[in-house]
Amino acid sequence: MTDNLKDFLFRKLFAPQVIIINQPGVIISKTTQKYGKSSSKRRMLFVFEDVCVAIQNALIKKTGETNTSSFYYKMGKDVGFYYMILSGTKKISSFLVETVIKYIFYTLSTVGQTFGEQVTIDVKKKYLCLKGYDNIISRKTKNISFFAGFSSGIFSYLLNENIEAKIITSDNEKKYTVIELSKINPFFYLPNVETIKKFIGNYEQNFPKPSKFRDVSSYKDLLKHKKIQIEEKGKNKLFGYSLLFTEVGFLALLVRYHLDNKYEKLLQNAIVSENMKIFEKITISKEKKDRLKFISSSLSALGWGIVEFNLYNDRIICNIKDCSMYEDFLYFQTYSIKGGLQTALKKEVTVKKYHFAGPNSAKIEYSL
Amino acid sequence: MKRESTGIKKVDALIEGGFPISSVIGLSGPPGIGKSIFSLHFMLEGARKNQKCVYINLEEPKENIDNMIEEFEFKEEFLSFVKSKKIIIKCYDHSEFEKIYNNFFEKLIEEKVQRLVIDSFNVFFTSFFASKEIPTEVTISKMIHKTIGMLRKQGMATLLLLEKNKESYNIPYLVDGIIELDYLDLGTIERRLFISKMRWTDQYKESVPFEIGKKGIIVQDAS
Repeated sequence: MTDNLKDFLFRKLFAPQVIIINQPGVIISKTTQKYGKSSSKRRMLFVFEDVCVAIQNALIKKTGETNTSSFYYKMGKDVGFYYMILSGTKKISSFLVETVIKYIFYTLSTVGQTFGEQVTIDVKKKYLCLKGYDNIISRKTKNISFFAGFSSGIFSYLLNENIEAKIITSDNEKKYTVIELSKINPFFYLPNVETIKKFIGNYEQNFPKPSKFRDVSSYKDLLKHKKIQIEEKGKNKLFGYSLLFTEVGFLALLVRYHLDNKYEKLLQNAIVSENMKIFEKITISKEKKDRLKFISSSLSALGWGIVEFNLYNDRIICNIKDCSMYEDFLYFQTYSIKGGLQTALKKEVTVKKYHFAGPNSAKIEYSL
Repeated sequence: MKRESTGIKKVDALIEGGFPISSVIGLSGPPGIGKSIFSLHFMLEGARKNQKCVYINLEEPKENIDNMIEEFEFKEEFLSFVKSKKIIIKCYDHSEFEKIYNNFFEKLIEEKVQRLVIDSFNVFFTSFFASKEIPTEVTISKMIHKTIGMLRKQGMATLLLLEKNKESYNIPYLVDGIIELDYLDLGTIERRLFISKMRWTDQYKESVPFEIGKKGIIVQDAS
């Protein structure tokens, strides 16, 4: 079948339409597609690239490059499967695999995940080669294992056959990477689909009815007010700091992996310290209440839910309305906010407890 | 194309010198952002050019408008134009406006009004319907469409102040231009002005910061 006809069929019959719904606290990507569910929604958000970099670097420092690569490859592959399960993709005709693969990696490249900018694929031979430059996170950690695993997850899921990825080049100087997926690559890891489905649970619960009262900004507001800049290849920056645009489950899985492998302290320290550094640089207000307002408004605009603080003498309560219901992402939020609070209040705070106070409503208590 | 200055030089620079002549422009924003202050600049500029300017307020008493004018360095000049009836300020409540609505447009023509401000246009129709049965959305939309058409026909430069987050009834689609005033609260309040639509104009595409001070609205250089 010619490429033109394939592309035509893909566009007319299968091509997804993506709409981004953005309101204060909540960012939703809605895709209508015909080869899977009729439409699928994803709860999206932004997170500072440097926080993800710090977490990976901390693991490299503690356990070494090889162990970290293995850890992140497996995590990436789980995320790849997670991504496909969420999209509701069922078995697709082999003649469309190439177009779907190119579409997926093209879409990712528009939000800074440029590891698959150039795609070479031979579906019959079950071969895929991804080349990219300046891919988010790996450009700073010099470790592309997560994205290699992720590609393997996507490709394997679509072909219904396990295909591992191999990193051919990761040119540290020029940030250029080549990932090759092929049947000849030895077996490394196979995700457990049931475990991932269990992790997803009832995904619909991540989409709250919008709250009526919103005294915080949206992503669109930050863009309009030029606090967010969009640079080449969709790289978003907030006050000069690069942002990763991702589905919330990726961060939840990142936390889950670290907790399951007993890297909790490492994770907490990396999240807190990096957020402290970032907020120190980007917060310009001098008054305490203004600094707290800065944190609540900026995190809300990044899609973390509507963040509000109540400050008492000995504690601070953070309420998050319209939040995602992934408990592991709440963990991530708790320690990220801790970093922001320590900068705003110029003192150490301790996480006392965090929990869901109701549907899409979370409460975090910090003691001062 | 002939243009009418907005009264704020830096805003004029963003829209090729001013509003297109005889256009109907929406000025939208949340409460307290500076829409009414913007309209003072608009009227002052008209009066300076010997144009008759009318400001209609349907929500606040006249004392509030007088107090607002007192805040600014241009108050003396402004009030001199009010005295000479180059600028006419009219504040109505619902029942008062209902009485004059039917002759409203005739009056504007009769008085040879060249600049008109309606503050706020969102309540313009609810005022009219205050003692009548509640209109349907279609009725209101039709009336708005008709009103904007009539305003355009009169050859006036018209500024319609629109409250953000209130029902818009497709007004942005019907007017010739929209200037949005908005603010961002990230601990410090930052105000920005954005020209989202301006027919027959190659408008500046990005937002610009502004402040409110003794001179009224002060637009900063684009950043």
